[in-house]
Amino acid sequence: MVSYKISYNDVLSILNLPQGTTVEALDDLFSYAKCEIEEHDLDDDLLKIDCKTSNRPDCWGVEGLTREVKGITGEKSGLPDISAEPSGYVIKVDPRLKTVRPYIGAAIIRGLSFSDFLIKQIMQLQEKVDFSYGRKRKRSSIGIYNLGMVESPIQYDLTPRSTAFVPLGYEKKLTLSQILSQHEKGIEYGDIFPKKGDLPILRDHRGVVLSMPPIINSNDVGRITEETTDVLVEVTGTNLEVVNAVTTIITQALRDRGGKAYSVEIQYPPKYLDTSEIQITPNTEPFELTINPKDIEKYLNLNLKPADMVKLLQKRRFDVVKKKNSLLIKYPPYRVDLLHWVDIAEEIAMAYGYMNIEPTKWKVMTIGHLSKRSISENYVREILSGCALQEVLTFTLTAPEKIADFMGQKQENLKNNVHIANPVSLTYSVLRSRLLPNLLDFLSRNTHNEYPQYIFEVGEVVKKNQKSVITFTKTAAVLTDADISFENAHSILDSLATQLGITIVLEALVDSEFLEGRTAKILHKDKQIGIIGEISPAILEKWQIYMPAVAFEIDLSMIPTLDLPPLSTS
Amino acid sequence: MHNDSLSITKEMNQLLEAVNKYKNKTLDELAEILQIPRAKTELLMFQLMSKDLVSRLTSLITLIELTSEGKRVLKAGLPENLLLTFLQNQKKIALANVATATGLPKQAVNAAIGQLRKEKIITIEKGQVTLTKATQRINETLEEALQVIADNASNEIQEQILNHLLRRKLVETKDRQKTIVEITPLGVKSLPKLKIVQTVSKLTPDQIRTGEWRSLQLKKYKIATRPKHIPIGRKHPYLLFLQEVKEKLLGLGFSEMRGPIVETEFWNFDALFAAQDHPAREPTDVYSIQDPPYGKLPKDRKLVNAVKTVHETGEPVGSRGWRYNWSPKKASLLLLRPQGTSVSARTLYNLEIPAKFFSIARCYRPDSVDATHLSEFNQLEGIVCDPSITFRDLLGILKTFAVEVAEATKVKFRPDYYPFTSPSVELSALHPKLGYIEFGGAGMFRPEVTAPFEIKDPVIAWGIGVDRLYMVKRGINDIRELFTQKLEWLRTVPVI
Repeated sequence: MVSYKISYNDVLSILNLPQGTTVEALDDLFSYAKCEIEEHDLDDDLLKIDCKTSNRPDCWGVEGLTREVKGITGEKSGLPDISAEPSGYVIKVDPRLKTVRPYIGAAIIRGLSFSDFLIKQIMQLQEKVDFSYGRKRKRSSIGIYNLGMVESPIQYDLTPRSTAFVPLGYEKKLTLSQILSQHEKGIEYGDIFPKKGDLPILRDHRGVVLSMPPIINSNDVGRITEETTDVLVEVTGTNLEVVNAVTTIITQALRDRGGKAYSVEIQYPPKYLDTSEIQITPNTEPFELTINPKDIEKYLNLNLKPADMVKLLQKRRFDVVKKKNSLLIKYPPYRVDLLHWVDIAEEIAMAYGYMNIEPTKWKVMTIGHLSKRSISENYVREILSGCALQEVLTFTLTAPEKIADFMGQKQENLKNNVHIANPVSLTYSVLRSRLLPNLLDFLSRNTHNEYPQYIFEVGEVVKKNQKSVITFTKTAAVLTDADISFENAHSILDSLATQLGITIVLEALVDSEFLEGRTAKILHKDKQIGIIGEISPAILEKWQIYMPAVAFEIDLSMIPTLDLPPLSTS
Repeated sequence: MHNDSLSITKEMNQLLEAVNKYKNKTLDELAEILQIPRAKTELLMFQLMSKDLVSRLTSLITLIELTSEGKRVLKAGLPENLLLTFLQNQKKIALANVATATGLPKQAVNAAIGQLRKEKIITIEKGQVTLTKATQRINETLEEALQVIADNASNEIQEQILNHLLRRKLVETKDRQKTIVEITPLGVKSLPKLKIVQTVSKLTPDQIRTGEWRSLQLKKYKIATRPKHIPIGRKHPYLLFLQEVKEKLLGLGFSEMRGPIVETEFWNFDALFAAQDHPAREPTDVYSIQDPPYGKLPKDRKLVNAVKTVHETGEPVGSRGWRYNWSPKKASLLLLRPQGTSVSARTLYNLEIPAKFFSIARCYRPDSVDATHLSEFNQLEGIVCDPSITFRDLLGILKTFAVEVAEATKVKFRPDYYPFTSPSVELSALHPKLGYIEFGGAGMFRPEVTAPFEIKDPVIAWGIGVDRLYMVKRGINDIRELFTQKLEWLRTVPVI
């Protein structure tokens, strides 16, 4: 999901819609570009847009969004103009860039009239595409320059870190090293490059620096103002297809704003590319995809003939060539999301209108079964709630402090617990491998409530198991009251075992969490399946529970009458 | 009330008989006669009055009682006599020393001097008290009278003496209510044929077995009083809700599937055709595991290779694919499943068609916990696979969900996006108060997803926002309340 802000009045003017068009009506139209109006403030002329797809970077600005919508409103039909005459500008690529940041695409757009608003809209598109589709500028990043200050040929070079220029927002020259260590953008994006070695630079044949891609533009050439009419746009990156697609996205947005596009010749060194050394960008040829209308009809069941599909696809800004048993779809090169004919099927369904489709009646007949796991867990929940215990639901993520310190153990002993590598907060940084600490945590938050407090949980826990990780189900119960002791929990445990049809034996155990002489292993057929005991006041003190408590916890995967084998990840 | 239904307790009967036998007795006297506390006697009287068997006459009477000085004097003797005894030994004493020498309070000294001077037994000159007439004791009648009053027989005292005692504040008068209990004509009439029962607060097994219960009267409860709160055993309200949702899905023929919490990227992303550099696979979007960081890829190498091929080339389904080098190492990274779709992906393996499945899976996202975000939440997801399925059927299934699960009749469909489906659709249902609420999404699994599992038929993947549905149902605005730690709420919130 990508969010951006646009102007309500700008949208009305682009789409030729009357003043007073409702936000709801616009929201319906925007759905055709998989966008929605998340927030709006018409007093401030503001619409906040969420684009739901990460594969439509062309729709991350108002220009691309309205380009789609124009097909639906009937304003435009078929393939948009993607033509570009040669500009005569050339970019030469340094062979050594191949292992650093190998690809570049560029275009020239003339005859623009920038306003402060438009500059901000274009910068927003640039920023959104760089961040998300460009993978934080690593895969691709866009640069825009005042063409009047640049002379062809332009060099895309690798240069020593001692090279200096005045970066955007500065008045004096900084070396590339200084930019990486001092400039806001250098600090933010410096990780894209290795710590050592030469870095990319874009400069014209006179040595005038345009930018240090993808970090920062120069302060003069790389600054667009309301006086700027002609611009050079360039996109560098690590993936040629992505670089080309992004070049068409930014070119098309500026073309939609009234500019005329011209192409730039990129001269790669010999054998640098698998294809021709000379690349003309932006791409002025549509991409093609062939579909079989029968496949589409079978997939969608909308009763559409090939001619209907052609009309619908034109509304989606495609050109269609009818062939004998197929349709040849010509689509703009910025549509990076179209991989397969099912994507064309979706385009057809969208143009048809989801709300115009009559849903069918229920027809796939099958017999439904609850999983054996849930059935097993439900038995235990049934028995324990029948024993007057309140069921609780706690998080599976917890804090190391709660499962170690609060249980009288050291955190370094949590060896069987699975820790998260990138936690957002320590409170939720480790997966529980048992339920008792969660139940004590629950009770510690309810000491002001009426006693007795009897609670239980049946829940999934996770632990390491022979270099792997398993998910399995446990149950735990805690009884607290002024007059509670071992036999209260023992009675319930005994009922549980009886109801589950297993025999259990208790064997005395010494465990620091529990009181000695009132603690036992729960054994079934000589295997330990759990533990029962009166909780040591030393533990209760830590939770600030000043009430006797007795508990048991059982690994339900060990109970043969239940069907709860551990789930492994492979 | 009919006479034959008149039944009273044994104790009430004792009082009634006493009232009948001894006329004009006060409550106190009756209590004395029956040897039961006065308060209990009074209670029995009221019980008899409520049945019209006795009546009471109340009047105010004046009682004479000793004051605290009177009680002291009764014990120590009159002060004038104490002073006399002293003077018989000493003959004279300084007036100022009388109090210390006799140990009398100041007021008592004044009274003693006054009485002895009045009887001309002493003289006082220049502060000297001198015995002038040898006398043993005076005012003996007063001492006797004090004793009589102490014995509660004040009516035998002469008025003159009583006044003297009152003046000297040795006695005082007090008004008190006197209650005389009398039997009523109904009481007289009923007495021979009253049914005598015993009152009990609880029945015992013996009383039932022996039939004794027939002669017992059970104390009536004050039924308007709120009872004592009992802690009951209840299932968690949110889990109950999920159980109801499951039952609805079972009714629609869906079977439940389950999967592990810690999952490989393979099942969560690669098998669902998410490119390995997809932004949803960034550390900002998924929790990864510290140790062990890697799990195992499926043993079925054919499946793994098919997933690799479809990512790299889009074959065998004629897709453009993602056109990069697929890394088995990246695919074997472990994560906390961020979506329940990983469970669906596992189910695609060896899928028997037709198939309808659902899962309610605990899912995890690296979000800071606040009123709208949790680190972990539940996702309801599933699949439908059948050779006959089309996109129009997908909308039909979603509409059924809206009717059966969200209990809404009107739905809205809108284009949506999931990396693993095309077409994709968002589902909103009309809520009577809140308008259209987004409650689910669905799509047809891309051929790049189903092909590695050798599934040729269309598969619908769908999801329902169960957390949202529950919050709407319970009127909860803070998502943290799903995992509420409020015991009192859990104990008392209505199940419905």
